[in-house]
Formats: sequence, C-alpha cells, structure tokens
Amino acid sequence: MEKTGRRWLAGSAATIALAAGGAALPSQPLGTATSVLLFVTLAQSWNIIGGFAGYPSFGQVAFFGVGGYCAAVLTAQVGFSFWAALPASAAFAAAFAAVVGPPLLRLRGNAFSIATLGMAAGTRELVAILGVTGGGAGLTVPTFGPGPHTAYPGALAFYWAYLALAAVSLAVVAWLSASRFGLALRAIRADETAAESAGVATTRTKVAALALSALLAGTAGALFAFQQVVVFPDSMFDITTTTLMVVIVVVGGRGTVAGPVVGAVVFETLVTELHLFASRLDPLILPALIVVGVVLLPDGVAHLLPVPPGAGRGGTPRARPRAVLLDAVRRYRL
Amino acid sequence: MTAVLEVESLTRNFGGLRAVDEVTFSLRRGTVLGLIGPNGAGKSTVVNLVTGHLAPTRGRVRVGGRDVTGAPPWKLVRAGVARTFQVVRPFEDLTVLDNVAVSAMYAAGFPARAARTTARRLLEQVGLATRAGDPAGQLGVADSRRLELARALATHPRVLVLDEILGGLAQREIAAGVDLLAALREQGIAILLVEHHMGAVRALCDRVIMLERGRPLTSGPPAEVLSDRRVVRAYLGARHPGTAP
Repeated sequence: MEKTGRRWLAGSAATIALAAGGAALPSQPLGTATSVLLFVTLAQSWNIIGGFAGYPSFGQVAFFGVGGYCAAVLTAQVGFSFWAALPASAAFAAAFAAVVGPPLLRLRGNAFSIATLGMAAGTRELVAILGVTGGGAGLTVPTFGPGPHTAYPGALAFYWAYLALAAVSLAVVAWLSASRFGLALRAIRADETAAESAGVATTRTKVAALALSALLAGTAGALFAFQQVVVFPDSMFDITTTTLMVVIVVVGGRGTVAGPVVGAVVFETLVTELHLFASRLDPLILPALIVVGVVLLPDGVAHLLPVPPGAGRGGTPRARPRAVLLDAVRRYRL
Repeated sequence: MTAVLEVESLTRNFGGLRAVDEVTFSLRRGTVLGLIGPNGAGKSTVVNLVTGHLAPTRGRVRVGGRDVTGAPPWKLVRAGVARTFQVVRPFEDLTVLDNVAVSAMYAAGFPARAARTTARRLLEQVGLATRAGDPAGQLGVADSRRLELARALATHPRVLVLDEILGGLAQREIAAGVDLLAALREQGIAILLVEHHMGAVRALCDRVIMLERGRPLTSGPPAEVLSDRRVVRAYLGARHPGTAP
C-alpha cells in the first residue's frame, strides 16, 4: 500500500514538473511534446483493450474521431461551449463503443482486428455523408465571433490539457492493472473459456474495457478537434493514428502501465523529428525500427525496466537485455 | 434430500451426429457419480452441457431445483457448478495465486483481499502453496491438475464436474488425488467424475453411468457396472477393466 502511495506521489510530482517545464519550451519542441502527450493517452486507450484484454483493435481511431466530431457538432451546431462539450463527447464515444462492442467482441483474433478496421472505415464514411457533421467539407469549432464560442486558448494551454489527460490515462491504467477488473481482463486474454468458467461475465467485461478505452480516446479526439479548429473525416479518422497506437504499445509493452508511455515518448519524438529533418527517409527508417524493436523485444521495452510490469502481482519476470538478445538470435537465427 | 444437480433427457446433436442421447441422472450432496465410456462416447459433451459450454439440443439441466438450461458458463459457476478441463487451461502469465483468486472473486464473489486469502488456503489444501508466486505456465502436468482443482474449488461449488482430472498422473499422484476428492465428498460437495482410471472410479463413486455412442448403456453401483460384460467388452475386449494399467 505504501509503495502504491509513493508511486502516486511520484506521478503527481512528475506531472507538475512537466506542466511547469512546458512553459519554458520554445514553440517547436512544445509542439512535439504536445503530440507525445496525445499519444500517451491514445496508446493507453489501446492498451486497455489490446494489451490487457488481448483484443487487438485496429479501429481505435473511430472512438477518437467520434469524440472529436461530437465536440465539433455540439459547439458548432448546438451552441455548447467547448468545455461543456468535452465531457459530453467523451461519454458519447464510450456509449458508441458500448453499442458497437458486443457484435465486434464476439469475434476473436484476426477476425476481430479486421472487423474493427471495417467499423472505423464505416464510421468515417457515415460522418462524411451526414449533414450535421458537414460531410466532406468538414466542420469548424467556433473560437470567435458574435455567436456562442470558446476562445482559442493557445499552444501552451493545449499542452497542459493533453498533459492532464495523459496523467489521467496513466492513473486509470495504473488502477486497472491492480484492480479486480484488470485481473479479469488478463484472465480473458490468457484463456477466455477458462475465464468464463471462473465466473467472469466475459462479454460484459470486454465491452466495459472497450468503452473505457473509448472514453479516453474520445476525450483526446475532442481536444484534438478544438486544437485543429477545423475537423475533416480524413483528419479525425486517419488510419495512421490507429497504427501508431498499436506500434507504440507493442514496442513499449502490452498490458503494462509504463510501456505505452515509454513507447509514446520514443515514437512520437522520432516521428516528429524524422519528419522535420529527414522527411524523405522516415517511411524507411520507422518501419525498420519497428521490425528491429519487435524482433528484439517481443514483450516490449517495459520488460527491461527495473520495476517489472504487471503491478507486482502476477507480472511476468523482468527480461535481461543479454538474455533477450540471445533469445532473439536463437529464434531468428540471426 | 433433493438433488443439487438434475439432468433430464439431455440430448445434443452436432449436425447429423447425436453426441449425447437422452442422458438422465441426478446428483445429491456429498455423493460421487462416475461417468465412464470409451473415447468418443460423449463424456466431455455431457460435461460441456452441464457446465454451460454447450447448449443442449433437447433436455433440461437444474441446479438446486432451478432450471439453468442454456445459461452461460459464468452463470452456472455462480449457481454452484464448477468444472475442470480435460486439457488444462491455466491463465499462463498470471501467478498460480491469481489464477485461483480470479475464481474466488468472480464466481464466489469475494472482494480482492479475501479472495487472495481464500486462494492461499486452497493452494495449501491441494498442495501447491509453495508455487503460489510462480507464473502458472511453469507448472508441470500434476501441478496443473492441482491448480485446475483449486480454481474449481475457489468458486465455492455445490457440484464439481471433473473431466479426467487424474489423466496423465503417476500412480502415487492418483492415490493422493483420490484422497483429496474423498475429502471433498466428505465436505458435502457433489462430484460428477469423468474418469478412465477404474481404480479411482471404484474407490470414489456411489454410482456409475456407462456411456456408449452418447447413450447410457448401463448404470448402477461401481462393482456391478464395472463387471458388466458389455462394459468390459466396450472398454477392453476380453480383459477386465480393473486390471487396466
């Protein structure tokens, strides 16, 4: 218990330090840092369903997009202030997941992944043809003018908002990792039939996990819509967003608390910096890094950390770098 | 005294194949019913039908007088029907302790702390206490079977459905297993024992049902059923099943 308390304290202190540090950053690194924080949240969102429950969703961007569009529609069409639209959008994304979840979560493995991909594509098409969402022309979040609007708060405020959300996501996953609910999800991932025989209401539990993950992704989407001011189906339902979530978690460590954070910092920094300095090479360098990362660390970077993932109870033992390398050499005959 | 588990005209078809055909039995508190028969006779299908992993084509399942036909496994286990799997299914990357704690939390309804206390006590009982902190994937065959049993017991069962729990064990381990099951029967738990080991069947069962091609061929006290000529023939040709290795 005491250890948990110290962890929460350290987390809060780090958040405050990062919040203060952001104010000192020039605009370009601030932009990168903001993007990293967005992906910490998105990666943790994917981690809940793909990492803990073992259901690799390839449609997670749908919840991000639904959250963003809900915020845009509520502010532009209904006259909500953005700060009132934010929780409503988060709740709507979660409700959307609770509706699409039951049929999707009847599927397992690759069938589930493909179905979620289709769900995201379908959602995007629906948004592109509806009148209320502005169709392909997009929709503008009102930030000035005589009508109801929310003043654009500026880059530093968005950095703080994404930081707060990332801290909440981390707290949610840290709680999950030590909770009954998290244990049920890990049992489902290990063996769903046996989990059902142990009394876990599997469908309900999986849908709850998807809704929780959508709540985080939807909140991030709403913030993103406000930050972008104008939202389009292409920007809110970009498949690359899902791909990055998956890659970050897989490289960072599935079903761990710290892995997605490490993955997001490494990957988003690389993506942003590579794009700035070597925009022609990044389509080559990134996939190469992903392959190397997955081959050498199939369980993710988090398994090299001093504190083994899985919140102590039931965690897998820590991997030693040398052993990991030797294992990779043996398996892939390098 | 009323039966804790009643099964009536249980039937299950797979396409054109009738895997289980009109099986009827009832099980009272503190009694053991053996279910024997050659491979493919439908024993595991009966297990899946009474534990909710399969829905019957026809027939009824009642637990404590309540109709639970077609209910999903998690509802049945909460109603008091726990099972073990013929091919063990541990949650490999969870610790042995957490494997058992999941059942105590979700099937028996214990809060997290009490569930782990219960799990620890059950690991003592089945002789796995020293492995509590290890990942369950590291257990050998015999210990995996003990874990299956501990997980089933953690659900706080009224009925235990054991699908070849003694399969693949050495003679000494079987003797320990039989003692453990006898103790559970003394505690009042009803057991449906699907087993190939005839020594265990004879030592534990009050009654035995012999299945062949999904149908009950004969039933009665173990001594009677096991010496029935049809049973002997179905199992071993001319040899007596009691002499099976």
